[in-house]
Formats: sequence, structure tokens, C-alpha cells
Amino acid sequence: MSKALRVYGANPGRAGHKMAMETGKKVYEARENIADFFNAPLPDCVAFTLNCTNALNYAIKGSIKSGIHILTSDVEHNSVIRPLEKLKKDGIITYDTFKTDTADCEKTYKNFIAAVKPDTGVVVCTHASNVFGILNPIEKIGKFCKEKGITFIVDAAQSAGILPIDIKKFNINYLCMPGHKGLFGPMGTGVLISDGTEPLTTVIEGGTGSRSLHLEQPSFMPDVFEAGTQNVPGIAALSEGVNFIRKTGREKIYNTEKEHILHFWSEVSKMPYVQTYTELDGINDFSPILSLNVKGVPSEKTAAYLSDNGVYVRAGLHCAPCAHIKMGTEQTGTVRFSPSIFTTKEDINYAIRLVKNAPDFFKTD
Amino acid sequence: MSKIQVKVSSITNAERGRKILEDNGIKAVIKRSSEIAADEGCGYSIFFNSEKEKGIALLRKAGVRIVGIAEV
Repeated sequence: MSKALRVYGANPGRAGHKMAMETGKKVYEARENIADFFNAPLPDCVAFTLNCTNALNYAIKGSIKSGIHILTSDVEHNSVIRPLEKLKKDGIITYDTFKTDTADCEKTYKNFIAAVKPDTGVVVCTHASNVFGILNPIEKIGKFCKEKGITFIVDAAQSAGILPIDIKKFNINYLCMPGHKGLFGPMGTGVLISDGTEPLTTVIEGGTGSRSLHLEQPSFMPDVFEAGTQNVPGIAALSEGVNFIRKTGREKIYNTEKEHILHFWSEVSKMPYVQTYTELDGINDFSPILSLNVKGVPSEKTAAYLSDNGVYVRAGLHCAPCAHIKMGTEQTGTVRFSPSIFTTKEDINYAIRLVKNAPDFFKTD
Repeated sequence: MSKIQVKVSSITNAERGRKILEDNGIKAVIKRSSEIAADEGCGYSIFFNSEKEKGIALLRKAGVRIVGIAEV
């Protein structure tokens, strides 16, 4: 990022001087990199956004016509549910949720099929719950949507860079993700990849450096979603993050994180004063995070105790009230552990010891 | 030697167009278009001076949004 601030300090797609052209090339290389990583048809199909929330808003609001029915899952983040709720309150759409099973994607798929209506025009769902790691079977859902002519939008916030995602193979129309999670990019970056689909309408209009005599927003990717100046240092760093994944190996990253969570879960789930919410024994795939609570202790207090001892986690509702309502944790929230490729076995064992000692700290049974 | 100037609608199209040409052995450069294109506005142009017809055909086939073509 610091190099980008110095070397790529001009606005791409606006001027013709050397720095502007070099910056334009750098941004395009980032598009190529990410398009290749997710098997998008063209680099042009990759638009950069402020974050995943922006990407989801553009995709959802760009896919609707008045009166449309939308289907989503019961574990969605507010970045999906809040736009849907607003559209519903404004009388533009109706929406329903299908039940995700905590361990069996086949059951989830059956629930999804049962929830589809004749007027379902859009399916938008998360690939993996950001609270409980539960997966939705997006490949099967995508195949169904393609057959039925339903627009399919995926929130890959908790899976991009960790689980395999192929936009063509999975028949995804819009794939949305943040830069700062599994893609190892900085905060303030996001990606919206289209399969070539152009949106029906836009959310934000402004200068794009293209078609500048026209008063309407360009309709083609990526310009349609990129009004205003882009976060070039962020984009450059995000592309380096993807290079890191390529160099390290996405599977290696996933297997390392999965191993950490399975080891962590195998120990903490035995502790009688700890409540876990997912059964990981025998589970094939999940996003490697774990939510738990120390019984009788508010989740934020547990997180504060961990933080005071050098373990940083997020507690509360994780901007995903629906997921917590589903699991009965909307009053307590949960403490979410999320290891990375940089987490060591010693780190995990230390966290286990802290959880083990929690009753002494909180004087609970 | 004259060059072909292919005016395109955006920097992204320009970069993609250049890559397509170079992947097919045609050396190309991108410059800011010196004129504001009628009905379009400001933009970028891809310049190349070899295999002109082949280059234009490659760009069209790839769906690069071409705003205008000139020999300069």
C-alpha cells in the first residue's frame, strides 16, 4: 500500500500522463488476478467496491423489478437482510428465508427447494455463516437458479480465499466479497464479480472516466459499479493478498484453519461450562470459525477477559441477528474464534487454557 | 509508418484490448485520446502499427467496446 501511495498516486482512467497510465495498468492487473482466481469470464467483470456490503447492495438493488420475490437463507448478515428489509418496507419486493441445516447441506438444499415460489426472481445467500461457519450449498443452488432463470447472488464474505469458489461452475450471477477477510487485503476494499450480467438499475451514479458526454451511468462492467475515484492503494494491496493465497495455497490455508478449529472445538466442547452451537465431529466442510459461550457469562465479558490476556475475538451479534435468532443466541450473542494461517498450535492451546480457566475468573460452575 | 488508432470507451477496455493484441504478437500502446469523441466524451486509444486488420478483428471478436477507428 505504501508503494502504491508513492508510485500509483494518480487517478486511473482519468488522465493520460505517465503516472495515470501506470496506475490504470496496475488496477487492470488486479482485475485480471482476481478474475482468474474466481474463474470470471473477463477481467472487466471484476468491479472494486468499498466493502462487501456495498457490493451486495449494488447486486441486490441492481437485480430487482417491482413485485419480485427474493429468497435468502436464515443465517444472513445484515448486509443482505437490511437491504431486503428496506426494499420490502418500501413495497418493492417480498422475501422469504429458507432454513440452513447446521451440518447437512443436502437438508439445506431440500429446504431451499421447498421455499422457492413461482415468482422467485432472485436468490441471495451467504456461502458461509460469519457466526457459526455453517455452509449453504451454493453450487447446487446455482445450478437450480440457472435452470429456472433466477438471478443468483452470493455473499462470500466468510468463504472467499478459503473455500473453493468458481463463478462459472457455480452459476453465480454476482459474487460479492470483502477484501479484508480471506483475501488478505486491507479494510475499505471489496469486490463484486459479475458473470457478464449487467444490472437492471444502479445505486450510485457518478464519474467513471468513460462515456463522459452521457448523463447516464455506463451500463457495462466494471464502470457501472465504479462511480468515483477508486481506492487504488487498497486495490493494489488486495491483489497482493490474492498473490499470497496463490503462493501459500488456498487448500493449505483452509486445512490449517480447519485443523485449528477442530482441535479447539474438540477441547472446549468437553468443558461442561462451555456452550458450543455446532457439531463438528464428522462434518466435511465448514468455514473455519467457532462460536461459543461460557455459560452464565455475557459474551462481551468473555471477550474482554480473552482480550486482557492477549486473545482477540469478536463477541455479540456479529451484525447477523438472523443467525443468532436461529440458534437461540440473540440475547447473549456469542464469542467467535477465527484462526488464520498465521495462528500457531501454541496460540490455539493458549486459547484453550484461557477458556478452561474462565470459570475461576468468572467464579462460575 | 501510419498507425491504427482504436478509440475505446474506458481505460479497462483499453487495457484489455492492449493485452489481447500483445497476446497475439501485436505490440500496442495506450494513450489518452487527444480529441473528445463525439457522442462519447474523453477516453483512451490503443495504437498499433502492424497487422492492422487482424488487430481490429481481434478486438471486435473479444467484445472490446470500440468507439472509433482511425489511421494516423
